Amino acid sequence: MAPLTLDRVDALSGATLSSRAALEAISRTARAAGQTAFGRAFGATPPPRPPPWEQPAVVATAVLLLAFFPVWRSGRDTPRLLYQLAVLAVLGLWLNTPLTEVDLINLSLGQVAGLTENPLRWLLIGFAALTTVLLGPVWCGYVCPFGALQELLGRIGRRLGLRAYPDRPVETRVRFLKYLLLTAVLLAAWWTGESRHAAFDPMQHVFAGRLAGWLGVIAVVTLLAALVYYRFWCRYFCPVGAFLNLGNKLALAQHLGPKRQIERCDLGVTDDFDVDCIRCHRCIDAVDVGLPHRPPARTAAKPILEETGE
Amino acid sequence: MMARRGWHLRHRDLRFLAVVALNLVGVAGYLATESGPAEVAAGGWRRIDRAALESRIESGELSRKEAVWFREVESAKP
Repeated sequence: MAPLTLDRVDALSGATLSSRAALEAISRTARAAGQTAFGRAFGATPPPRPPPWEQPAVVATAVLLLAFFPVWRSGRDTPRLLYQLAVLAVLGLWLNTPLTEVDLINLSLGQVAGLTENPLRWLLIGFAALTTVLLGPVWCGYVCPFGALQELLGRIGRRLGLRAYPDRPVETRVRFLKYLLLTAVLLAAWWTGESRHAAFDPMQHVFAGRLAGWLGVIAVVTLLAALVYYRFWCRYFCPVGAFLNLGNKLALAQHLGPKRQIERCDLGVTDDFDVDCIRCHRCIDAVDVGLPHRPPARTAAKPILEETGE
Repeated sequence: MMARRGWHLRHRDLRFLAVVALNLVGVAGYLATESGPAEVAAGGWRRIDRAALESRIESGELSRKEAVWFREVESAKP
């Protein structure tokens, strides 16, 4: 009976919680199997899992999500910057639990842990779903730790004079990449029943500090590009962001938030329900918008006869 | 002057598109080489080396793919 070498254990996500959950699942399964097959217990009985309100990760996340609302309502740049730093620290560096397209796939396939098994996941998914329907994709604009990381890099890049914008017709076309990727990963997952095709997202790998192989290439290109192009991954590649962006067409309670100054948007958002808005609210204080360097939007082509005055 | 401005914009757009293409190459490379199923011979008893598993999880060596390891193995069915 050869032991299972770990070269054959091929996959665990980089998420701290996933790793712990995997270990716990292995331990519980081994104990249950031993009890069933041999009528005896192997290993010590684990302590019962504490209720959610006694789990520091759940409490910290709940506090963070509650703090979102006043920050969002203020619409100001400084509170948002501080909030994003907190998000980056808690959901990124500490818990490494961003929402990814794997969550979308697992939900669509019905492969979800129970509420008591993983209350943190449900808290995050529930918050993202509810706020997207009511307020638009504020998850992207405020709560996503990878978005926060890119935005902080973007602020540094702006201060260094690196920020640049592609021409709008080019950007308008390229931004549809994320919708294509969303469609592709969903179709691949539904076709194969697996989510591994969607694991190209660098979020969790960046926060885990693991940048090897092709994922390292993606992560490095993304983070360097974020210095120059505002939220490079979010705007052109993120499948889960593409899905949440559809909430722009609902945003049933967006009137409860601050009034956006859409004419200041440096990303080409044109109206209150524009699908490309990530609800970052940078347009309100206009501290971090690079509008002066942005070429003007092309107006609709005028008829030649009118232009020439004939 | 208009022609010069147009050339400048095109150059900037090409740089942007090159970065996008580079990232797409990364995604394609990952999908082509690193997201495939593990070639694992199924069947028979296995004993999990829990200490080694823990150490590899802690060192981050098992982080490059999402949790596909629990998928059903056809040949292990009774």
